[in-house]
Amino acid sequence: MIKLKRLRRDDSLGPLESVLFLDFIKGLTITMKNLLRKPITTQYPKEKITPPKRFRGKHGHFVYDGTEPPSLQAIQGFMSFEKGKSRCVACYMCQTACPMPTLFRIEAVQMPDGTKKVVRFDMNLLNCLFCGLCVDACPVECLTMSDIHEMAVYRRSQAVIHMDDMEKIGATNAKTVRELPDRIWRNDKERETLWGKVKWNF
Amino acid sequence: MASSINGNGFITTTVDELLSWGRRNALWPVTIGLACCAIEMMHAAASRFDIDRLGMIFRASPRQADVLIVAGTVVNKVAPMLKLIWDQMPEPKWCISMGGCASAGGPFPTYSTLQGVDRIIPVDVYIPGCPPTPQGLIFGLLELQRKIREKKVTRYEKAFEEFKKDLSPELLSGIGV
Repeated sequence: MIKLKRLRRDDSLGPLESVLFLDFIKGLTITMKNLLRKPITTQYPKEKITPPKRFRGKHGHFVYDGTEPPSLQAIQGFMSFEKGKSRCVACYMCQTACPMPTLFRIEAVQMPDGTKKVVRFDMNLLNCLFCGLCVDACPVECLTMSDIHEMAVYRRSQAVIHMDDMEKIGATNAKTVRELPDRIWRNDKERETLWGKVKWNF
Repeated sequence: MASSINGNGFITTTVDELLSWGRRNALWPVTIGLACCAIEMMHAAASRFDIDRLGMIFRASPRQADVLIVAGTVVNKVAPMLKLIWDQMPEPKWCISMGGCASAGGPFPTYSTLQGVDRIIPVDVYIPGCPPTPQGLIFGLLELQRKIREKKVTRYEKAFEEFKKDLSPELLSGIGV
């Protein structure tokens, strides 16, 4: 049989504690500590928190600039690409993988010499879940996601991004994100002690 | 500013500027959250991204509020209540549609979900994202401040006329406006 120990409320405070208010001082110490600490507030428009490397933001297109994967090098003869323009091949894999049926609008035409040219690649960001399934599905490493998360617009039509916007993002933001080291951890050393050396490849 | 002084006269312009300054620096949102976007909205109000800095304090009553942040999925059942809250807010008032669900139905193209809150309320700022980050929301609020500064305050009817310009003619004939 277990013996239950009875505690009385009067027993918890000793004579010293009841006279000197030690509990109050303990509590006020925490208050004072927080009073003297630096505030954690981010002054948003002046200073911004950088999203981690694998943040899924606004979409971008990597451009045709000689860094193509082998899957694209095999078929680039059939496409009419231009240097510095999108390397999309209009395979509709992103549209197939997307959970939203109306998000993508992709159109391609056949040029007079028989090659294929992508003339339209629109994405309605208001429908987008930013799940990244389209990026995973892209077989030619064209579609990507940048760290842009400030996307407020005044009109619905402004939320639709077109191919030239995405080429711009792919050449600037998405490229820097791709080249930077992983930013989830504050420094790489701290990460390596926990996880070992991690090689990021896209 | 210079052109508006020449056009409208000095006193009117100054009063307009003063009112606009007061309104854009004291945007009080209503405390209403409908889905997971509300978590990010609370995060924006908490100490990390303290929107009290920008003069935005969440009010518990629509009678004291200026901004309606529609944060989350608007299902058909909650739509009349949201419309009631919007009607109870005194003018001038603004609406922010936060996230994909409120803006365009999001991942719910179903019978029970309103496909965009702008079918019942004229929206000033759309914020894509699922959900938008707190920084994205604060950017939207700053965009709203910019809109108030540039466009001054418009009445509800005028705002609706502006809003109708964005809709397609087929849609307008369909809803009978």
